Amino acid sequence: MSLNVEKIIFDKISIVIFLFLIFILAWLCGQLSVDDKEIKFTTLVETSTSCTTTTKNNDNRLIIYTTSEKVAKNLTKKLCENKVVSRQYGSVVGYWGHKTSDSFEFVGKGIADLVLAKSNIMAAFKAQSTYNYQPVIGFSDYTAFFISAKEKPRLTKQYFLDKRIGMLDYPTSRSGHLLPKKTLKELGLSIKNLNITYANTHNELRELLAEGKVDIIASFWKDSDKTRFSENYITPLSDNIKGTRWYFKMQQNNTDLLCAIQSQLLDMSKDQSLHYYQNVKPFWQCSSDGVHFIKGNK
Amino acid sequence: MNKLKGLLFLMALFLISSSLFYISNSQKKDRVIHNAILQVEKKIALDLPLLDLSNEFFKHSGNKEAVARYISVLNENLTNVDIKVVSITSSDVSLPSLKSGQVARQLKTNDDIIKVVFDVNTPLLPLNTIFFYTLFFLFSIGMTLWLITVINKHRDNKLQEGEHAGMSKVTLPVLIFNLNSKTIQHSYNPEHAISLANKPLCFYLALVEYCTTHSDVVLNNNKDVPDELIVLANKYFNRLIELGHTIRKRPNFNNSLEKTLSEIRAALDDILNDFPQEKQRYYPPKAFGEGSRSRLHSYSLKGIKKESIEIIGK
Repeated sequence: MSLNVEKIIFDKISIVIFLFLIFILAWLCGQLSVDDKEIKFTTLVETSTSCTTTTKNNDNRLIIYTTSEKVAKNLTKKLCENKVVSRQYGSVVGYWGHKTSDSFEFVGKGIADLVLAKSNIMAAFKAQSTYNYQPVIGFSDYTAFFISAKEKPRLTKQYFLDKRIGMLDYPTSRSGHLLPKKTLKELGLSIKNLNITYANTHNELRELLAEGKVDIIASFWKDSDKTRFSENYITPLSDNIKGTRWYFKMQQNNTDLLCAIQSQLLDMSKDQSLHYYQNVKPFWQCSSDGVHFIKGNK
Repeated sequence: MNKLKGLLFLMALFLISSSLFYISNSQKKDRVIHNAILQVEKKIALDLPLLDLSNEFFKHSGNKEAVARYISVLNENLTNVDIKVVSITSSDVSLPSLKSGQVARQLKTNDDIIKVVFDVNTPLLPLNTIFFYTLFFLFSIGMTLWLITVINKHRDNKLQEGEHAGMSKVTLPVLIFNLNSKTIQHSYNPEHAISLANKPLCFYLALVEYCTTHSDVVLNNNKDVPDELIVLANKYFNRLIELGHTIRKRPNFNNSLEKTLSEIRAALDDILNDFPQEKQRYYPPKAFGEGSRSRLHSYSLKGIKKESIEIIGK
């Protein structure tokens, strides 16, 4: 008789314990049914690329800076395969940066060995005399224009007063920022009172014009523009703009490397799709007699 | 436990465990999403210098394409979590009103407030959740079945116990001999007490004790009472003297044996009147008919046991 009672009490207790366990289990299941993993992020914004040459033990790095990611990647890869570069460097790193001020760091502090830069920036930092940056190849000079969709812009004060003008937002651009502002100032117009819309790229400017969001844009003229805009409706600004140039930091008289890089850059420009970038001139005469700066290029 | 109660228990158990699961699950989900948003916020904050956002003060228009590209690469990293980044904008861009399931966060820099909009879409009933609900349902069924068996067993035990108790009462009736009051009672009817004279009382108690130790003995009326029996009877008589019931010399138990037995039978007749089936046990056998006083007759108590009587004041 007492055994039975004990068994019943045991059964009752075990039922209560079991119920309790089920509730705990339900709670635990709820907790475990959701994964709480830490998110592993990859590099979301790439600003550089690098590769190793055939002499991997060499610690020297050749540093390139250009504003275009595509050019930086392409050139880095090509230079890694170059024999002269391989002899002198273990790796090549190509930076394309992400903002305008990056070029100030690379040029102003002489960090880049090879840099694609506008002459105004090189001049601003006196980089040619400070770090002996030498031009290697240069793209042809060009002219800045005011481009309109419906009429030829006139360079008079009255004309610009009620116009919406599109410009580039970075102050290193000559055709899209500096020269048009200079022209407008010469006409006696205050920038403050003008209706200026800023864009990030030359292509964005063209979009703004095509969509009718602005009346005039400040940019250069390229062949492909003929399909969208009329060549009759462009007005050149007075100055001729020096083309962008590749500069090489010549701290030693390393002419082998200079010539190797020059021929590599010339090869690369032939593959460019834009006519403007195909039209390049070298600054150095590389031959078995020696290396000479080609006069008349300055 | 009837079917309705079982069903109710099943439903209650399932509901409680499911709601516990649901609460725990949603609480954890919220925490995971909160964590994920914090992690993404941290990542965006780290990448903020690399993001080309517009800035009115610096007349910077920003690169919307680059930001859109950044968001799409960022979202590729978020395949394992239920959040997606919808937009990252600086303060000078006014946001469209949030859709349902969208969460907006602000990253305050020293001169700007960056607004990040997240899309939070948690699936309502993911597959693993359905699995857990099914599991709880099965658990509840198992639990209910168990409970039903336990309760039924409990009831059976109770019934059995009841029967057992009844039976034990029937099988354990006792004659109670009270030496203090020189009476006999039946344990089932203790109010009905019969007084007995000293001699038959002592003789009967001695006879019971003697017969429990010598179960097969033959006690003939014509022969003398065995000495052992006399000794026992004298012992009980001495006890009566001690209790102050008598000061007389102890009697000769061999004398008028038949009369003593008759007195005993008379008292037992009275006591066991309501329990005739027990007479056989307590009743010293009577000689019947002609030649009954033959040698074959025995007044010994067959089948008497020590537990059959209870003596008070021994």
